[in-house]
Amino acid sequence: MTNTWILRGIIHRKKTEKRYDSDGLVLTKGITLGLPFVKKQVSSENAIQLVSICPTQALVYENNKLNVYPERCIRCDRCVEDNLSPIVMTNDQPSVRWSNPDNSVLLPHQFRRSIHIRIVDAGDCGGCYNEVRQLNNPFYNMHRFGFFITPTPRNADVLMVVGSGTRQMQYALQATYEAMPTPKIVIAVGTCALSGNMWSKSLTGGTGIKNVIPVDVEVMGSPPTPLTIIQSLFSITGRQMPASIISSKTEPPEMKRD
Amino acid sequence: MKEISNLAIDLESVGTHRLSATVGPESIVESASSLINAGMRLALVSGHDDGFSIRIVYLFTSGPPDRRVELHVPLDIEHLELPTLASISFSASRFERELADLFGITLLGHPQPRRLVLHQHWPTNWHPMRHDTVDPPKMVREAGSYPFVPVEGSGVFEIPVGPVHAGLIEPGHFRFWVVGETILRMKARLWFVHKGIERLFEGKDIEAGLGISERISGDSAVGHSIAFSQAVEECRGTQVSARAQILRAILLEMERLYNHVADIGALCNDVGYGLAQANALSLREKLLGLNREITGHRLLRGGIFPGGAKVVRLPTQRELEEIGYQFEDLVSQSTSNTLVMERFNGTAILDRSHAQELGVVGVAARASGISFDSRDAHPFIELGENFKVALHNRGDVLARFNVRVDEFRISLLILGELIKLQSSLGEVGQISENDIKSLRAGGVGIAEGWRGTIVHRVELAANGTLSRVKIVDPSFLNWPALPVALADTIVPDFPLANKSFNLSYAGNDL
Repeated sequence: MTNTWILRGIIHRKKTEKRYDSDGLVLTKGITLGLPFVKKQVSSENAIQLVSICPTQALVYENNKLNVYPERCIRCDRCVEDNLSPIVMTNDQPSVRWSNPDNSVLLPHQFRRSIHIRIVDAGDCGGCYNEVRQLNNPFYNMHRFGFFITPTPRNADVLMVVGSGTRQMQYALQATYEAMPTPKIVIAVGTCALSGNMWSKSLTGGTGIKNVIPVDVEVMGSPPTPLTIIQSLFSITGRQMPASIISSKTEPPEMKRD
Repeated sequence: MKEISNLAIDLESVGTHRLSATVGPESIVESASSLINAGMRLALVSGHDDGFSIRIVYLFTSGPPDRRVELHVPLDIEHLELPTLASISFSASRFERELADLFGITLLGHPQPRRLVLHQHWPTNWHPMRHDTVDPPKMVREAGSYPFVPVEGSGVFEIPVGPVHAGLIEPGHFRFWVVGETILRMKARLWFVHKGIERLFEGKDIEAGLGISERISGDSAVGHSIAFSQAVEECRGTQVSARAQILRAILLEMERLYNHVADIGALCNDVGYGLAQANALSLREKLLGLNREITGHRLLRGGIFPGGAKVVRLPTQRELEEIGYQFEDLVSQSTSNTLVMERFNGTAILDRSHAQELGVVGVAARASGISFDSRDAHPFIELGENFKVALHNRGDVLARFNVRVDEFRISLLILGELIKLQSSLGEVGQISENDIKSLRAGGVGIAEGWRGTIVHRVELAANGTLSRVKIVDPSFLNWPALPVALADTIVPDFPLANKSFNLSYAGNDL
């Protein structure tokens, strides 16, 4: 059976996802699962009602306006169950973005090819980690782009963090970051790493890793798709600067504890 | 099995299969040992802060026939002293240490009363599950450093590993004491990803609770949400339609498929057979894509909710056949490779007596010859002739590999049958709800996730919100088995042995 695998490989053909279509344009299908967007403003009672059902405070009612912070969205879809809801899930929203506007000038010059990544789980449920593991499967095959997972932070260019940064992992996360040589990039993957998700209300859960180490690239989704994660790696190499990466944003208000 | 009704405990019926009694702390050891001697398994121990007292609930289960017995032990808030069950049940001793950390209960006569959940940098008198605890404290090192048992002698080396690992595994610290390559002792120190999930449930509405239960362990979203939903339904007296039960069973088996195939690939990868890993991952990606079409989420979130289940579409028989064909290809590829089989065979043996003493459940138990499966012992649906408990006796990595292979095949057969069956039934029927019977009675949900038996126990407050949810992931019961299985294996086999158990860190740490 084993010695026929080349033959079977030819029969089953290539499984790898395409990056470009026939016109040479970057394919965006599957890059994002869709993020919330406020299409119209509603009365304050309706808005407050919507804010109350959001489990992760992605919807915020401030200055008489309903605002949505997609980095906190976990796509539970409770706010869009009603057809009349002012929220829609759109695919044209960016799922990857830079935390710091200066990065757009700095990053593409620091990293080009052969990126070595150290991945740290800082309190993940297993969802985002599951998708990060998929990066090396024959469909996504990260190696073909020159992205490698390295076993030690001493060799790493990029620190990819999943999970909310729990109290008991904070020291290990910091030590990993400090062990990396400069220049270094931190990619926060998933809603937990960005804002602490629902764990931010807990006594030990952590409120996102930006309170522990500086974050450069934010990948949204709970969990983000593997293509989104690959997209974030492209964005730091400067080999692809898709429109879905923006550098300006407003800071969301502090997470409230119950 | 002795009849439970003959025991000297005054039991009253509280649920469909559930009996309950309140006993004093002085008689808990006697009552618990009579239940364990009657062949019951300690499934769950949970604490409840009732304000004036702390109530400890012990849940014992056995099956088939499905039996569940609860013992409530109220402790006065001024005298939080609990006699230990460590001498009659190993898993009880770990539940008790959890209680001591989270509720501040003093354990009487416990052989190992040190911390389990909270690491040493937490203050000594801080107990996160007590309602009077509101703020996370400042970190201090009152409790000293972690008391590793020293192993000394000529040629003994100590190897610390983690919590940040070389491979892609979740955080945990492992410490090995080795002579040459042989492991003398291994200690797993976990709870790095302790997120305070159980406290987070308190005061939430049911829907928010469901969202949390889907994220207890990301790869067991279906198992945990079924257990949570069943527990809530028992609290509220909800009847679930037959079709919804079938959909739940289908989703549970789909979850088993994508996880077992990943484990099979990862086991081959850990012995250096990357080809099988590549094939397994491509089959897994196919299954994840199918999951996306089934519930709209790659990890099958959003399919189960208290009162029912929903899917966008179901897998077709042709898709199942294709999956089966690819899977048989993968299995024959790995089992025909002598190098792979050589490494699997006889590695990291967990023998039956150890597995029984430690209270191991799930894949690891069935690989050690313990015929226990919740789909058989606590069924929520009749699975038909195709279902049988996949059983192997050797207790080594090969046995755990084979249990996974067998379960994958059985799951495919069950899925084919269930999908045929559900098409003959109508839409999800009306949900009937009765009044909440008794708040203290709560509800218990048991589901066989792909790792093993998942148990949830839920109590509701008078306004219908969750007042306490206790979760037992199979990983909590199975982690102590890993060091036992590792005795006398070599250090390079650790990743292989660890993968063959593939326990959740997030589900254990909660």
